[in-house]
Amino acid sequence: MNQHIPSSRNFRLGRVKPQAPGNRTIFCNDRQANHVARFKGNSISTTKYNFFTFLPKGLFEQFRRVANLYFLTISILSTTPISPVSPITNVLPLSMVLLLSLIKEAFEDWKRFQNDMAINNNRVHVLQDKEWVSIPWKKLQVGDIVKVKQDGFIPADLLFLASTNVDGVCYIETANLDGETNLKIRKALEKTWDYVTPEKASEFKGEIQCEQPNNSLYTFTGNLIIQDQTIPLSPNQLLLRGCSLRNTGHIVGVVIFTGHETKVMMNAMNVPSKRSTLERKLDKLILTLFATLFTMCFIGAVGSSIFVNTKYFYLHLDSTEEDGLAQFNPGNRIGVFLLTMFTLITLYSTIIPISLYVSIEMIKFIQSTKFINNDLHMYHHETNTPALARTSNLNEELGQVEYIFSDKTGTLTRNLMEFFKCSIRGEVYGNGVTEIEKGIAERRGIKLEENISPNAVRERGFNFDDARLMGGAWRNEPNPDSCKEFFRCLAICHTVLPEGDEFPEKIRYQAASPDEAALVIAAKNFGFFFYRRTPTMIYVRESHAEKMDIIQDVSYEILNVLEFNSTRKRQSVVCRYPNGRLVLYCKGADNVIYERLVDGSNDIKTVTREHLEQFGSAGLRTLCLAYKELHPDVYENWNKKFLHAKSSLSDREKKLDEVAELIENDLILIGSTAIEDKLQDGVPACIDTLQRAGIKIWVLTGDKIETAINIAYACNLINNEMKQFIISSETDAIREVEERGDQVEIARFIREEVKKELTKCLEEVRSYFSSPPAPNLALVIDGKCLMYALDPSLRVILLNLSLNCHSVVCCRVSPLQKAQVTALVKNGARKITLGIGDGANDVSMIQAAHVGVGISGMEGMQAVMASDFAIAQFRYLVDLLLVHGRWSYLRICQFWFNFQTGFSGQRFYDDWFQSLYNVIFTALPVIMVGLYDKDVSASLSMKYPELYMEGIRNSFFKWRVVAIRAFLSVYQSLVFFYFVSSSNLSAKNSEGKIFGLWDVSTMAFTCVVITVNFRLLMNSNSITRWHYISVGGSILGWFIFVFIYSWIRTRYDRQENVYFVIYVLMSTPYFYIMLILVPIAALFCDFVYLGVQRWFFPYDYQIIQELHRHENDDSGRAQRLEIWNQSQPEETTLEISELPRAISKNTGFAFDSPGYESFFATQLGVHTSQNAWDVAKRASVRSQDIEQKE
Amino acid sequence: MASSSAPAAAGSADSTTTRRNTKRPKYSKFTQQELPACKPILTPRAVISAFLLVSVVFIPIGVASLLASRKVVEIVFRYESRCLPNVTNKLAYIQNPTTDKTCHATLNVTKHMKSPIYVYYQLDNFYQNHRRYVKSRSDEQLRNLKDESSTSTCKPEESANNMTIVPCGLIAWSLFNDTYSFSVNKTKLTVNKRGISWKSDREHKFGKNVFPRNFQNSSIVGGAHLNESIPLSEQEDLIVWMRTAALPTFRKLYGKIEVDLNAGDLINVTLQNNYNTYSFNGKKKLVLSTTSWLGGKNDFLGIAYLTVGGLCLFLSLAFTIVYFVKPRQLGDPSYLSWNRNPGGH
Repeated sequence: MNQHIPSSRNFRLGRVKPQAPGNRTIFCNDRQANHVARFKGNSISTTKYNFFTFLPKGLFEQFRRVANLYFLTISILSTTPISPVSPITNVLPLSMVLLLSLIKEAFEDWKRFQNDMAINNNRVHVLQDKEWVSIPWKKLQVGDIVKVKQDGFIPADLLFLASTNVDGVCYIETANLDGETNLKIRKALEKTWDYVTPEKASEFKGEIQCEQPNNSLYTFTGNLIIQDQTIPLSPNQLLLRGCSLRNTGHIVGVVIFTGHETKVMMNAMNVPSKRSTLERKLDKLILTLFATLFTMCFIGAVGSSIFVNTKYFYLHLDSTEEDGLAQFNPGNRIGVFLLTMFTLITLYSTIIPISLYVSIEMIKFIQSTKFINNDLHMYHHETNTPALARTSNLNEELGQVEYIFSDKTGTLTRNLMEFFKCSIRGEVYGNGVTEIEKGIAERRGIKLEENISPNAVRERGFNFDDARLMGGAWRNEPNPDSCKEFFRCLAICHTVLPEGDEFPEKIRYQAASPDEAALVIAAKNFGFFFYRRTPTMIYVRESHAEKMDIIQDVSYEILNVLEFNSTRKRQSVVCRYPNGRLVLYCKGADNVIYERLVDGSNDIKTVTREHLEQFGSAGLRTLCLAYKELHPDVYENWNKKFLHAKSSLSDREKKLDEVAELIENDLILIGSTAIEDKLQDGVPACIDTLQRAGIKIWVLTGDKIETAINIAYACNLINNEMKQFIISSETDAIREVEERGDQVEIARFIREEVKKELTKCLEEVRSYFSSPPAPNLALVIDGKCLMYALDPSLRVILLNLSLNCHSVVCCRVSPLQKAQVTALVKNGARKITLGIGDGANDVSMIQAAHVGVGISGMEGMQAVMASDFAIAQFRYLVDLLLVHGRWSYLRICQFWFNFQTGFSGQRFYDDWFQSLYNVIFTALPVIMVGLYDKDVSASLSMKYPELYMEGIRNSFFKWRVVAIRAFLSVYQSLVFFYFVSSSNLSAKNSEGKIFGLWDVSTMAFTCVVITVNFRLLMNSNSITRWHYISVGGSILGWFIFVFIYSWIRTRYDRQENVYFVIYVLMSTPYFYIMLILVPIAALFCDFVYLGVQRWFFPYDYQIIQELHRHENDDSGRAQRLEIWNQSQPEETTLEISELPRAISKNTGFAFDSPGYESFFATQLGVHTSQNAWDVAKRASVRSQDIEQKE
Repeated sequence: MASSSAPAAAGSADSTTTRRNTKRPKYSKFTQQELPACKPILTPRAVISAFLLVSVVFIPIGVASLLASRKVVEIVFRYESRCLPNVTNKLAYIQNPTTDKTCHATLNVTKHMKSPIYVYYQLDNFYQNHRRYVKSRSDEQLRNLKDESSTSTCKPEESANNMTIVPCGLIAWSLFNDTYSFSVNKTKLTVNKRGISWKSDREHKFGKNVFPRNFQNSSIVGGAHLNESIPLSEQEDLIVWMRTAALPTFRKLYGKIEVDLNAGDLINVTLQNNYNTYSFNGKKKLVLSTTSWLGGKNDFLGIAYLTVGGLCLFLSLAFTIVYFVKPRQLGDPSYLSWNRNPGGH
């Protein structure tokens, strides 16, 4: 060993200069050597602040909110002598708000910190002096050799050296990285297999040269230099931090990237914070209010500067010696104007209530944590996942969604693949009927009977009903040899790993895509049981292969695996039979395979093509299987090129593809497989409900156009009554141009075609709309066309066209395009969009949409979730209206008062009254309404999804409505002020005594508190006992406050304004008379408005309320379930023979599983952003679990 | 309910889910938003009856308060121009402390006035609610002898001749100083000036041991002088004046006449027209008024009640007519927007 170290040192010295930035060199198991490079440690920190930065940074964050900044300005102004209110009344609420927010921030950060600590202190075994020593994660360094046990988490990005599994294989679950739950296989280099024991591992001295840390989860290139040999490394040897080890005793690996340099942490980016449109509208409203405020102040200030005059001798405006005069100096009217302006701004500042933000935050928080997260109807108990509101900002947005962008796989479908049919040498096998065919038949009114044939064999991944292939019966079929090749191809050509006992019933297959597993399971059921894999061999137990009833174990030597990727769309295996026969088995997408078939036997090709189309139209995913006999010399020749390509450092993938191309030709077609992609429960019913609610659903999928259309059919998204526009790049004309191969020409041509198509469709749409009744329209567009259609010049046409369509299906789209389409609608049409998906490939779409919904767990719950959101809508908007509706009048009231005070900026209300108004006397009922108000019960909103359209049309927050509210507020303010001030002049009791300023204002304020609270009750749709408590409590709270407040007396100034006032007031009958009059007069207009509106212009929800006014609310839950069940389509049955078949030119393609799509994503440079936080959290939770178990 | 059936199913399900803590949310009426609630619906009938109810309550109250207000007899006498002798410079006249400003007038009692008859003065265009004015007082100083020097809020009338003023501030400085005396048929009517202020002010806001000092000693005299031997708690004119009014037109209680006046009586008023309202063209009025249970003459309240009540009555009638002529079926599905214009989106 020793002699290698200097050589590698030299090596390093010789290379370090020219390529320093691009490479990282790691000396395994040699901390001193690595010390030079100063790699970062493995501890992570996801906290936002530390002890010292907390206050400045936290405060800075707070004041980035305009509202807080505004209140800060007001508070500063209020400490100056020009302020009419005492500063404490402004500073106190602001500091309370800030304090609360800071505490919240600190708490969250503390939790983050604790989690970081938990993760950093997780223990891992590291090799020190030929022994495994347990150290915390954070002490881990680059180059260390670590041992990870079964179910443990990988502490850093590791180079996988060895595992307890004999063939150097380990299984990892990457759920933390990309949400996929199927196990991934990682395979160590054969050279390093032996370093399992500490003694052996301590001898491991190697040098790793690899790329610099980056965020691409699916790529990795590097070399391992060991014993003077350079061995190429691939992602296959890389274990990423956050993954967990499964089905493997333990593994040994070398740390490559640590801490924040690991791929998962590099991927962690801040989720863009989304603001709801309502919030933005609220901002606008506040701006409007600010403008109003400014106008009011302006008028007031002008008035003040005109008013000041020495003639009011009692104001002593002529005194010269004193500084406080500046504001009212008649000699300097401009100064008077400016100062009064500031005074008035502080005075009226409460027109923008600080508590509005606080109560909105509070309501949203409770709504999301208590209601959405705890809704039993959104709990999916198979996967044990409740709904989770990750942000509370967007609750009310859910009530206004107009466009849903949905991923297909995993969202609409279950990502559960079942082998359903096949075609071998021109013969179709499999009699099953797919859900989609059932759906189509049902829509055509054909009731079909389901007769489960006794031959049907079902297990997970296999649902095949044809006795002709089972139990060796295929030997009697016309082409037994083809059948045999077919089955062998299924059993050999794959990257599946078997797991568990080697019996057909017990074995489990671990595959990268469920399609592959389904194919191997199929082979097993046909009698070709693949039961063991070593790096070079595949063992298959073949029944009836050579003769009936003979079972023999056959081992095939696997010489090369040409792996699947999204450009190749195929996968090949070169294997050697025990008898020396060399065969290449290949499976892949139909067009790819057909291009590479040997000439001749065209009838088989045509028949199989027809079958593929049939399968495609039934919603099945298809693959073509082919094989080729190889001559040993030809193979050897090729293999050299292959090995060369495989060990190249740069562009390895591309070179491999090129080499593969050399051998994957002149194939012989065996047949095709058809796999059913199961729909999620209740998807069609849910989509139907959502469509009735006026929501438009777009499916964005990476699938083939036909598969996508068929899924769309199955989901009720498209039906035959719809006029379909299909814009596809798979036309003959385009294909012809493509064959010529000139890239520029292709681009130009497709663009022209797309433009032509789009314009044509749009014209057609217009003609439909000019002559009603217009049919529902559906648009289907594929990724390639979409690429051109998203071009700025065509974007407008696309948008116009698609907005007129009921449903839109985009197929073959990349994740980036998904995001682009979403952004197109979001920005172009200014509609509220919702993105829903489950995989890493949907992340960009989810982030682009206004509301992003992620499916948690394999089995989705989106059907329930989506429809439940419909309920969350109304109360939110209504409540907001109440909030913003009520704020105005109190302050506008101030304005009228100012007209009467010579515009001096004297306050009408005592400042404590004013600042507590929002915080105490009225906040609680508003929160209650925000939490509890519901217009119709949950069951009814499910029954009448059309109600949702009110949210989409934004009925409750239109400017018109706001204007009406504002008008009512102005009216109320006038009532308050003039009614109450009418009491100024004459005596107010039989003693002939007269009220002063503070008597009048306290009376007005009492009226305001009562009115506001009653108005809230009046506007509530449902009143629970909490409403009574909070409304009663608020009014009572006011009285208690004012009793105490006018009783106590302190040395601080001004407080004695209201000293004893309430007692004086309550001793007069006049007070009580006013107390009845003013609220009723103020609410009179509201009441008339409500009555007239409901009577003559009722909202839909009001009608529904009336329809069901006698129903008991408690029965609602049960009903809701019932309705849900009813709306699920009953299992209907059909006879397949009657099915009218839509023959399509293209066929579904089986490898469009999410795993491959996410692979696709990385190629396009769209990286999945994974919240590293989650990974960490799950890791810590997990380790706690394990500890508890032990 | 839904919650009862689910756990049973969960038990048979995946063993891993039961082993781990189930994340199934706990059922509570709060989180499931199923709190019992009443749902008021503003049906036409409810609207009509609400209006009717309001009018039934309001109209009697309105009538009662209007009657009470009508029963009050009020004599208003405006004198600021009448009591001004024919001088060219009004300001010079009023500001000259030496001239005699006595003025005589006769008021006719039109209706029987039952004692007590309250005497008010009414000022107009006088901004007692101006910010500068309202602030300019010191409650501590008024209440306690030891706080005599806390005059920081009293600007610009906190001190004169380098001595603190008690009571300080603009309000006190501008104390109203017209005086009235009345006689009927040559018999003098005593004006009782005790008990004209609110009891709470007398007892809690103005100290018994605080005496006026250095008051009205500055160059410009704002208004009345105070007797320095009487404590502030008994200076009721000051107490009344310092309860600042809400609006620029206000009345203040001057005193009580505790004899009945008969219709046709002629009251001779002798008034000292001292107070300067001429600089800002303010009106001055003398008001004699009786009171009812509701206080002084105030038609507004009765009219407001009657208006609201009447409007409600009218609306309830109007709605009733609409209700019978063109009724709207409650919960008529044809009103639903998607039934009104099918497919019109």
